[in-house]
Amino acid sequence: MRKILDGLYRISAVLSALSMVSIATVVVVQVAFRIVNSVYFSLTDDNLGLLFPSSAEFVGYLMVATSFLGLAYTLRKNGHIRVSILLNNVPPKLHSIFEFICLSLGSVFMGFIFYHTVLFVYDSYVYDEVSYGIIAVPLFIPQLFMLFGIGVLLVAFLDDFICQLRGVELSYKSAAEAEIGSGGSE
Amino acid sequence: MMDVSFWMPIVVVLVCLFSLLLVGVWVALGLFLTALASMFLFTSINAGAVLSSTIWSGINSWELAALPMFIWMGEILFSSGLSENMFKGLSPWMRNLPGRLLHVNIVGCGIFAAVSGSSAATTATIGKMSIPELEKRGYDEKMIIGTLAGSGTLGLLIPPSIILIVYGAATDQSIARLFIAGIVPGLVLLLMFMGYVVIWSLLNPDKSPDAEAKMPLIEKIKGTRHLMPVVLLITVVIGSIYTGIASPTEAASLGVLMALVLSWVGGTLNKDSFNTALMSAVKTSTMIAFILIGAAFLTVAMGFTGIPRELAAHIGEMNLSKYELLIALTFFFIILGCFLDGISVVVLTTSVILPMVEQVGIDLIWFGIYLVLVVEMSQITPPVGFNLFVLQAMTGKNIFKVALYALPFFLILVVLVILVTLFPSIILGLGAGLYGG
Repeated sequence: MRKILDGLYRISAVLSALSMVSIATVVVVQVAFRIVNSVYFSLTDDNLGLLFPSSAEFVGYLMVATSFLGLAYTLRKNGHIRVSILLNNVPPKLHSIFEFICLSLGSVFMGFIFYHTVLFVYDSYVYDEVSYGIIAVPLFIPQLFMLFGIGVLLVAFLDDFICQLRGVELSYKSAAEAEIGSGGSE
Repeated sequence: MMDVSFWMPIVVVLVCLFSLLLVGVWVALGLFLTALASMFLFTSINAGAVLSSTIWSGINSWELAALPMFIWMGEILFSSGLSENMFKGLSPWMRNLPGRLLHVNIVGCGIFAAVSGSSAATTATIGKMSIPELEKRGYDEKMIIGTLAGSGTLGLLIPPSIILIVYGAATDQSIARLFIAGIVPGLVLLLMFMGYVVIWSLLNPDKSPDAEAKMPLIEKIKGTRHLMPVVLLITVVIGSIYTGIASPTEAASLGVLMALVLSWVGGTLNKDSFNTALMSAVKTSTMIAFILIGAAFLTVAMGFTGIPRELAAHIGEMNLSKYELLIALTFFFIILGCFLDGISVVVLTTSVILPMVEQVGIDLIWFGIYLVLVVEMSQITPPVGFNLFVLQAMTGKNIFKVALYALPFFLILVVLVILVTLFPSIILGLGAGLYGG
């Protein structure tokens, strides 16, 4: 079970990283096309018309993919910001009550958002919503990345919630300790 | 004035948000939950129905893609030994100014800030190599820590600033215009910090160590050779935005490419360093994106409850002048900044306070820079400020002592805020010349 879950987080994180690399690639290619076009124009007075169709839309979708697919990874690596003044200075018993509240709120809310996103993506599939650009992309495809990312974050919250109940160390706490161990500041 | 039906929703929203945050709920989640609660309590809107479409359109944006790109560019430069080269590259040039190597702290923070966009990271990175070096040479401890705490905050202002991208995305302002607006105040601040160090060291000649041996020019240039490409890269990136050749997203993506080339030429690019930088960038940009979608939803929820609109109307009735409102807001932000990081302060502001600001006729580009300056101040105010924590951890000094050392720099920030309020053209001048506005 542990292996399957870690594999899931890993796949999602790798997809997020790939989306980020794709943003850079799409934008750089699009700029390169523009430069080639203008050089060609200044030399020949003719339009070459090299074009990366719908690049702006694609970058938007890749931005969605990067952001949502990385959510669970960031939670487990202690990357999401929280206010820890109180949390770090209360007795252990109260501390675990606070963690319990945070993780149960996280799990319930992610469940809520996951449910509504399923409906949202389903609607966009049923009504054949497509993008406005040159290439008409069915919107449910990029929306599925958002749904998947939200789903994995839901799993990650439930995962840590169960760890909390069983008294196992939480993923983001081990990550924080590893950071201190490796000599990082904070 | 004490109208219960008016104040009730505001109090409920604030209490809800702050109790969630204090318990330790992640900031983004706290924004979502507060939004849900206020929609449930004060409107009859089905929150679930607008939730997914709001977060989808909140993040599906070409402009916003500048955020992960700039973060990634910074991570690549960071992993290619930028910080080690900073001290070696800058110190030969600074040793003849009054105040000598203290200026390395300030200029180093200025350059690193342009790359990283985070003030805690700037303070930590520059401090890690400069504190031991400066202490070894016998510089005044008070000034070592003070210059670091103060200049670390430059990270928020000097473009490409992550926090300005967040503000631009949340308020629909042009990111390019915000960057341009940040240039002059950023440079003025840098010069004011350096000016203070010069004056201080002229007044306290006994507290500066003796001049080191003169270095021939060729040696100076040699020392800087690793730093120059980075400075060049930043200049190209900012320059292309400034001249309108490239949009921020394009400039940032080209910045990533150039940073990779630099790191490859410098021999530090390998599979490990590439992956570390990439995953670290995923972590930071995802964290910010999560807060941004939470804020987008809170903004929509606040719109339905009408709270910001009523608050704005209320301020309108009070006939507050622009200056009175700004003074009140400054105190409010400094308090908020005591326990929230800069980005969270900015997104909260844009969700609730923006209509109020527009009501009294404040320019939103100007307000963005003002907000960043005040957030910078809040990073070095005790009892809680992110830069103070970093320096406390690095030097082992008590946080109030660090804050005391940082006080002159805090006061310089106050002076700058007053200056830009009295002379808005410090912020808007460069853009007006460019856009003819």
